[in-house]
Amino acid sequence: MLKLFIKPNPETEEWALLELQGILETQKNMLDGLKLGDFTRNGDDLVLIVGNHKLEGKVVQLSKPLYVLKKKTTPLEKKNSSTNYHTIAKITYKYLFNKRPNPYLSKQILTSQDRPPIITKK
Amino acid sequence: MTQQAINYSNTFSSEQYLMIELPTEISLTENEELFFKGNQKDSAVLCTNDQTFEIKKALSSNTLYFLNEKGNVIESQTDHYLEVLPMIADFHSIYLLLSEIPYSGKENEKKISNKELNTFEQLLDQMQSSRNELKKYLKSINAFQLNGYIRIMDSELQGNIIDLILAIVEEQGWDIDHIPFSELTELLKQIKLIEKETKYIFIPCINKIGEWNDLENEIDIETEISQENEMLFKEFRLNKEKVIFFRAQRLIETDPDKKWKKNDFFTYFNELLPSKIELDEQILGKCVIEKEFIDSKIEDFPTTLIFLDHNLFPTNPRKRLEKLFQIKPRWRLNEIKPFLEHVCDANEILSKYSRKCTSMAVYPEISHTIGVEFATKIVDILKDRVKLQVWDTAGQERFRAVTRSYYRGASAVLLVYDTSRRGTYNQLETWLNDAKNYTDQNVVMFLIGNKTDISDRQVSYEEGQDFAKENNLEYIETSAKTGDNVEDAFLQAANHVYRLVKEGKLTRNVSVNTKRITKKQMKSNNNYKVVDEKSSNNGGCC
Repeated sequence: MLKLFIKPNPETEEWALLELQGILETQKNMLDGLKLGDFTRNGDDLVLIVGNHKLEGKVVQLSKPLYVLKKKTTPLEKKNSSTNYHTIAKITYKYLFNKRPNPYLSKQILTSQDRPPIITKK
Repeated sequence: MTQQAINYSNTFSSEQYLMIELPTEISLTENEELFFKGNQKDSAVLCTNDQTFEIKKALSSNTLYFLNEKGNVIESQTDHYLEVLPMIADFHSIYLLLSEIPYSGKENEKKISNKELNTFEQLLDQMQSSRNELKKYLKSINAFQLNGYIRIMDSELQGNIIDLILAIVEEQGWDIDHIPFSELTELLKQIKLIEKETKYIFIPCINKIGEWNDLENEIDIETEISQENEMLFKEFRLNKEKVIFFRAQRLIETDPDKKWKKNDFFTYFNELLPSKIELDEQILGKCVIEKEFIDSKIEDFPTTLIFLDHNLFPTNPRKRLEKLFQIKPRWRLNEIKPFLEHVCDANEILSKYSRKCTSMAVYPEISHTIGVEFATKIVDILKDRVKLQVWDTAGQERFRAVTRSYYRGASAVLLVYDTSRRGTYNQLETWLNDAKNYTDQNVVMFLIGNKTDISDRQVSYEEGQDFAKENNLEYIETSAKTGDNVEDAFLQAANHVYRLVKEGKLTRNVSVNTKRITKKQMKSNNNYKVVDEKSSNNGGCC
């Protein structure tokens, strides 16, 4: 029987989960390095401005922790190799944006050359 | 208030990570193993040292980003996480595997090749379970390690040895809470039958009826008993429950077909027990059941008994329940409870699965009519072909409202009662009133006494006839089971209706209901509706 171990990593980071209702549709294929939006935190109340959409959300503590794992295959001698999962991060809370976004306009966006991403409701 | 820009990381790509939700009691430390386990065809499970979890994929329709707050970057994206739920692995296959090649004495060991046997690690490798759960299970089925392999003992050999042990204990008059092991082995070794056996196999035998005293660190199945640790086994005590279990099994399995009266069984059984152990009915209930379901009003009815070893049942609650109902289709609640307690909460499991299991039970039962049922038959009367529409209405009170609406437009009514149940005869009045109120006044009415095949009659022919005369009904007796007169009853009813129609006393196809159906069957010449009204709810079908 195959066994895949979950190995605790001493360098496990603390991450947060950012949950947006629906799907974020963008016109760009590659998102690497791009800006998603501006994030404002006031206690447990959150505001995220994505393009000309304003999302309101809150901090939610998770009842059970989530672990982010990454599969790692270490080649051993001969043909064998061992595959394990390493913990990358532990998540104990999430930023939940579960409301419909509101339109939000600012001068900066109106004058900007970059077209903002569009949020569609699923 | 803090304000920051959130960016996608430079290496952002979706689905490069796996997200799993772990119960808070699982601590991810170097010391504790945590792993996914399974074959290619299995759905994987997650194991710790002590527990097994099933894995479920929880999909989300929302966008889930992993946010690394150090640099406010989104590392990756996913649409699901894995959820884990505690489960009990089904160890039954292990028992089957081990019982294929039991230990049945030293002389038989030569015939067994090591390839057929399994080490603990091999067994663990075959099971989707944690190490400690498997250990616990092997202990419960009284398995032991011999020459590196996990074995269970042939029940005949084990039974014989235990019989001897109990006899020696009785003979020596030892305190049943302090039985010296070395002295016992000396005496056992003098017995011809088992003189060649190694004394280590006595240990699992003793485990079956008792427990060890002063065995601080219990020697688990992974450690084989050898010269190094045999010193630890000094003395043991008999366990009441275990002894009763063992005795019950021996007694019942030597003569499985014997019929016992309850009191006789208790008396006889008590004599078999060691003098210092008393019979406990509650303990007996955990391992012995009556083969048939017996009405509790009947006392001392002789019955066959079955010994059930709960350890041999599947540990999966649903499979266990199926198996129990296979053995016995009807159980009393307090009877089945002891057999479920080991794996789950009995009430919970019964309410969850019992309906499913009773449907698997084999006793035949004709289902009662729900609302109405409908059938058609074409019969020839004189030169005409007549199509009968037979509506079978439900008998139960709760369907009354529905069934009434079907009386309208009926040309004939057959009132059926059960001659073997007076209650159904007494109800005829109500049914008759209903029928009169909701049908045409010229309707043909028949009274039918059904189930004449049952010899135990409660309503005589005369009584039926009297009721029919008083109320102007025709009377016929039938048996739906043998088919006696059934055809006749319908034919006679049809004849009556036919005559009335020819005489113009009854109009055809008056009801909406009938019309709707007749449209489909335009070819037939005549359509009459017959309401077959049963005052017995489990009468045979006509």
